[in-house]
Amino acid sequence: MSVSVLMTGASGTVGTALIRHWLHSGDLDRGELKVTAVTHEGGRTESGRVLPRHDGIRVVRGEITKPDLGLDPQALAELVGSTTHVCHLAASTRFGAPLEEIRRVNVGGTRHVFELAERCPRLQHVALASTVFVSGRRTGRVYENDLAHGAGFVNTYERSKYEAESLAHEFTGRVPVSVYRISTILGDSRSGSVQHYTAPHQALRIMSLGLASMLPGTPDYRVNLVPTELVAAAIARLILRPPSEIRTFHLAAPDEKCFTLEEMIETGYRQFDRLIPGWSRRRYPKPAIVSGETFDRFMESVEETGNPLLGGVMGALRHFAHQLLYPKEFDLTNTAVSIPGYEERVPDVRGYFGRVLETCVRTRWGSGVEGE
Amino acid sequence: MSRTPSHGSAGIPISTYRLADRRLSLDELHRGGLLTSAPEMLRDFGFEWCHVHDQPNATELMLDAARALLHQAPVEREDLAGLFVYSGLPSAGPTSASDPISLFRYDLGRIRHELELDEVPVYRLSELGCCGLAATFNLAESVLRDSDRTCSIVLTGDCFGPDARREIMYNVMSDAASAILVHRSSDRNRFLASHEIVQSYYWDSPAHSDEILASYFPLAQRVIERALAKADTPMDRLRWIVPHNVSVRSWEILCGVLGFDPDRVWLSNIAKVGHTVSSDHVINLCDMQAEGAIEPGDRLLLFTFGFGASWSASVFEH
Repeated sequence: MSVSVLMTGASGTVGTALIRHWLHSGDLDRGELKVTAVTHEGGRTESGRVLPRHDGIRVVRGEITKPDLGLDPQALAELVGSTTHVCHLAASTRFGAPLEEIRRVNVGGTRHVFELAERCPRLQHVALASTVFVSGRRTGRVYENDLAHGAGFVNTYERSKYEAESLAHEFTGRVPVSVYRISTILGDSRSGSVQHYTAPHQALRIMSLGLASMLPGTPDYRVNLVPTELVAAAIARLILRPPSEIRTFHLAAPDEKCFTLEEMIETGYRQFDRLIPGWSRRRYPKPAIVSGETFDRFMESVEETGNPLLGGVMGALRHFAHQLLYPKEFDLTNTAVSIPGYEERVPDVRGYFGRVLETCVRTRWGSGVEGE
Repeated sequence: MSRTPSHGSAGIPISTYRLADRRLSLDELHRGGLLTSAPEMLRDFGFEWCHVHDQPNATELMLDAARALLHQAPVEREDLAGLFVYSGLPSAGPTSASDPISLFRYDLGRIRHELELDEVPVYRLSELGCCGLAATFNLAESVLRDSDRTCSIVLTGDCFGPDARREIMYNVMSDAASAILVHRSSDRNRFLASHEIVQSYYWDSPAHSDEILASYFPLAQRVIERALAKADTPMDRLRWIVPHNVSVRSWEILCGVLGFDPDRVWLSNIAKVGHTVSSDHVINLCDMQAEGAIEPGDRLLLFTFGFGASWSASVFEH
């Protein structure tokens, strides 16, 4: 059976990892799989690299915020005629973006993708990439089949993805949608490479600079991190399966393979000591772990003083750090049923954290080109 | 970096202070170009008044404070193990050697002369920023412990100069001096324990100001918790934190970090007095005693941060 995947967000962390996975697995080489990457960046990844050249990969310029993804009529007709699977990965991850702005991309864009999918006569499956943090300010065990809650959200990104998932429910019966709720991606567990420097990387950067004064949360908060290749392999497997009653999957790590917040900070400090010459002599203190109110008061003060450096680096924490106040555990039942052995295959973060930090330090958190 | 007394009864029976006379409001300082931040922000941070000395150094203020102390506690000179003097600011003496002998015009000699303390050993400490009082007290207490004398005098004083700018890291700085009698067997303010954390990497304060700001709270938490542990004093056993007079805002945040009730931090002098380099604790202790805020047996924690850089906490029992 020939599979033709329309992929948005192919240049992002998950998109490039998924394409790499298909290249390595031979699926693309065997000609059983073709990918049409709809990207507004001309097929460039976030680190500036171009998507791999391969007969099975076609890059089409498009924009999810526009109806029909802004495709020209010929490309649109070809895509509608050929697409069997849609993998919608594109999203704005600007946590601090105004709601309307991020909603336009993450909800409006999803609607456009679903509407296009609806018109594809060969369509078998639509995969929507989401986040485990659609659970927002909920605490405790979060089940994959749960969505609706009134706990509120830490940032506009979480809310917009929650709304995108709600939209997927609206399309039930019109398109066969599965939702993949992805946890925070740290990097490739084998090479330590990092495609996109996100919340945990930024927090660690601030610690390495001796500028981390405090973090909200509790010391035993479980920081759920997953490696890039695990997410790619899981999506590759799930998307090609015919959709069943199970529609939502947590691509997260089991709790025992996660750091506590305190452990992550301590491990980070030990790694900086190893990786940055002279770092230990600076004797930077570990950040205090404080209540949300204290953290907010501190942030207000930093903002009020207009201190440019502290304001800049601590401001980077502001839009995600509050999630540390809402401890939760992500149930993995659906994923484990669909991917036998999933939990065993998730690498323990303790085993690859050092490799990822090595990349962070070597590339100065992405300011230099990795590998140079 | 800790001090725990072997006998546990040395303390501070008497203390005095002297504030510079000229009092300027935030608006007056602002009009005089002596602030970096807007007065509204500094007011929001808890400041209102600043005391400015009309002399380039704190010697007169220290002498006044010492005379008041000796008036209240007429100690015999032969009972004194030492005179301990601290200033966190460089002396404003001559910097040119055009008349080299003027370089030897020592304020310390003047203090000994005017207080008639020629026979008393003298010790001078410097460059410990706002941690000077704690370090000088610890030295005085240590010397006293190995001496057959009964008490020592500690003088602190800092003066920025009449035309100096008055803001450091969002704090309003005043000129003042303090004097304390350290007695080997004190009936009040008995020293229980102290802890100090030194971060010499931050010796160049301007170059490391952002790191210092970021480190302030986690190291304050650590030094306070360790001092309390050494004093076998749980946080809820503390009656008061006697602060150094940095911004009220920073104390609100530090209380949040510590889980300590901000109503039990003596904050009222921050607006009235501002932050003096090394005399805040004595000023606050004196005023707390004068206002009847402290009862015998109350445990007090004195915390401060000093450029250089060090974090210091001491526990006393009133």
